[in-house]
Amino acid sequence: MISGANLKVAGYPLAIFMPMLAPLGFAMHLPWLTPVVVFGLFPILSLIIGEDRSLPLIGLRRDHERMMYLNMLPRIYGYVWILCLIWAASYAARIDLTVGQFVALTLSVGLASAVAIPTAHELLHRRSWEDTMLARLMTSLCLYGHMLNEHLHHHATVGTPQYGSTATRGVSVYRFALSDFVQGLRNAWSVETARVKRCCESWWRHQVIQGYVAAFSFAAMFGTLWGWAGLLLFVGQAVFAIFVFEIITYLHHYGLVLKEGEELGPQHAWAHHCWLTNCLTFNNTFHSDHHLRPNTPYYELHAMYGAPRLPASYFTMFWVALVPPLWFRLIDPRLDALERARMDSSHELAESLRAAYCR
Amino acid sequence: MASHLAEPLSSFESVDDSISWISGYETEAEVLDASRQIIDYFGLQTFVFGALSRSGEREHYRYLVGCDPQWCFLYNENRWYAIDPCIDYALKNTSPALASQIPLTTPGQERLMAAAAEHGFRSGVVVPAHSPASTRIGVLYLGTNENDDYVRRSYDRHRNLMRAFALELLEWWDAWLRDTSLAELDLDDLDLELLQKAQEQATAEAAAHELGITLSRVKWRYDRLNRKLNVAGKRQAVEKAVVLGLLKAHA
Repeated sequence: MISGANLKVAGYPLAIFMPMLAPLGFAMHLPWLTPVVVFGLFPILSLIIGEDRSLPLIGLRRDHERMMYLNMLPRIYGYVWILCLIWAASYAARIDLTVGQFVALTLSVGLASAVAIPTAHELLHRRSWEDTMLARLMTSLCLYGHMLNEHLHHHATVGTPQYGSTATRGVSVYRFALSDFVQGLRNAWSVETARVKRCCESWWRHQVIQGYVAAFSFAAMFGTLWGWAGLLLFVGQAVFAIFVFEIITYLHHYGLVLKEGEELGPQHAWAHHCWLTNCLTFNNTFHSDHHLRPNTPYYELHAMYGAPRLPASYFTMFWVALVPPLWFRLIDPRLDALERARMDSSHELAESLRAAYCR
Repeated sequence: MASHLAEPLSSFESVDDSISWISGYETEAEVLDASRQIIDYFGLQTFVFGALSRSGEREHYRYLVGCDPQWCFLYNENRWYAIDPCIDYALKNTSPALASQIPLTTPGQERLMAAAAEHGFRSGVVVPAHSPASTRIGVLYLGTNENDDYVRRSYDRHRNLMRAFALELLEWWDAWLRDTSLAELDLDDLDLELLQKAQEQATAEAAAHELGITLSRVKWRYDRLNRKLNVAGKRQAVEKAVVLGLLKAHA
């Protein structure tokens, strides 16, 4: 268990090493380094390091230099990841890779891209034009042109399964991932189309159209510059990143449906406040707090009392989600316990169900 | 922000710079100091800048005064703003004009101009400044006790600078009004975005979907905005926000 705020501030740059793992692995002739580190080493490290009980630094808003550093980190991640993507495409085009090596390269970059989407998510909640544009560039490079509009819609409708993004009980991650992507595109399209019509703007101002024009232009650019290998890598990393992001969304909200007349609260997002995951994903596990304060920067989010707890860190639960019978067996009893706690007037969650919170 | 103007302005470039710095000043006193030096360069002595904002059928006036305060007191007491031929000229025109060229059509207007002459505006220049869609109109009166020929020479030499000066004053006024309103009403970025959505005539549900907040929060925020702005509904909130410079008016 780690509670030092300064240590956490020092830990955030760890995220920037994620996109660097792919070139490092190939330089060391270890093409599977990234998947092994992410899916093998990180779950073990998460267990060893423990949970994150740090609070945001006191007086941070008066410390302009530290604020600037913290604000810069997601941007730096974005730039480093874009460079990594370009490197990977040119490497795939230049070097005669075996099928296994090509798959390893695509997965390695795809994992960095999977972190790039939550990073873009952090940037899109900011109000500056530069950050929003960088977020849109990053999501377009992941062929996720509607992410910005869909994500804002997600905030407005979380806990309402008919809008997607909240998997109902019994739905597997595979069914959820596809349906949520399609439903998300529908949501983004309808919201943005209504806005464009209402504001009498031209269709070129339609952000979903802009996002996909950019995405397909990037695909064409990768294909033109680096041939079929570049194009395949570009599409492969994007599909993998979107799939991972959908799994994260599944982990966040599975089964936590808003009841009639119920207000959104910390109980509508699963949590496991793993210190390492938080450093690598800019506090993505403080998801309850993020939903209650959407425009709060990542470094001011913290764990909340009342957030239900996942049995293990995201890295471990990622694997569990991929095996639906195991997932249902682990999570559905927790949903039952949550429901019992809701019906009980004291609303007290069992210790095993309570996510760690800051004290 | 400290005034950049320590010494009298002596060249076109220095006045041009001074005019462009106006938008960066934080207080009215800084703008008044800078304005006095600029009109001194024009060879004139007095000025009043009036900003008129329109919202629906209503009009609101505010003034930046660089002349004898007694004149403003007299002007307001007599409600001369209702018949002021210079305001009427600015509402219908965008070009600067010599005050003597503006026709006086009523005895009240003649009395007004005679009183103005006794308070430093014997002759002068009227410079209109229009915001986009003319929802906010500025009128810069530049005056002197010299005769009309003197003013004409200044006008011929400095006409473009006078226009730039009036436009910068209008922009500064807009920004100052916006900042003051934001601080006084304790509004944040989300409040402004919600006002923007209300101006676009977005429903509460559309605003929620586009801004990424729940419907109940949108409704609660609109109720709070209505209370803060002391209005009964979204339409009135938008009208008031335009007057307070919080929103740009639609064309």
